[in-house]
Amino acid sequence: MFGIGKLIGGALNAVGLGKIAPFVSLAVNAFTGNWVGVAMDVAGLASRIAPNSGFAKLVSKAAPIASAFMGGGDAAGGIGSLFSGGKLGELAGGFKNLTSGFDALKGGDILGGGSKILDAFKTAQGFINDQNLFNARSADANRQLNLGNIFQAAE
Amino acid sequence: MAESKDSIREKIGMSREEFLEMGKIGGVYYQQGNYEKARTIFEGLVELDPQSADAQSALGGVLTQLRANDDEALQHLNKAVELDSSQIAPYVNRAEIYIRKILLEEAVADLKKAIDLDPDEKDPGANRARAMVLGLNEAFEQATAAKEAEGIM
Repeated sequence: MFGIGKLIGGALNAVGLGKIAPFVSLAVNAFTGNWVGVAMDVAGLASRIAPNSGFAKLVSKAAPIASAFMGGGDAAGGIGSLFSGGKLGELAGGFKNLTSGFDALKGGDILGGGSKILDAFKTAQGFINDQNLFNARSADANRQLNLGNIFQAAE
Repeated sequence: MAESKDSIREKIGMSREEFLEMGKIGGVYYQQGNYEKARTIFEGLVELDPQSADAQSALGGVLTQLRANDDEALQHLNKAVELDSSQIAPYVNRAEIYIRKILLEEAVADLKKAIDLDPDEKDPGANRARAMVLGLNEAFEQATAAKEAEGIM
């Protein structure tokens, strides 16, 4: 165990990853493996990152997830349109039908993740409902705005 | 998305597009910081299609972020890499967990893979790996200096 003295963090804090700095510091401090070899590998990798590289402007602040699921950005607009007209309910119903025979035989969750699937459909449906509510309120607000404009023009 | 024969997704007539759309709903929750709802959706997707590298990667990612169960996160990340070794995110997240477990050789190997998969520095996940490398390098330099001061090196 070697005393680093202070938590490292310059490099990580600079890109908004200060939260993982303590783990990095502790891990290096407590590391008992091939110290020299790993330190050299890390230095080699670090040397490949150009000092003025623009990478720091585009760093995932949270653990990254599959890029295929990151199409929505921070805004949710347009996401979930495939599930209009009760499609999620149909899928959940199809799943319940699929598992009902097993349930009768085993008294429950034969497919293991059955409740997880239904919870996922329910959560996705909640998202769709929130979207619909948001859209309805936006439409209402726009309608009121238009009415206001009409009255203003009439005056 | 990998072909998944006999998945529950197929049995209930859920299309690939619908599967992807549900993943994007999870992605929106994730980006909004609503990790529990994202986790619920990704867990469901893994059950619907365990052969989906995207679903395995996403569930491993949210579990990494939650720091609630690193071993379970590793299982999903390992599966994601097994299904599609060209995805960057599972390597970055696995490296973070390896760092927490003080398995630095494994962590550095995964960081290298993530960086190698994104030579143009365009992927935010690979750039997170770059930041972790710089952080590790800084920690090693400080630890080396401390060891030298103590007369160990």
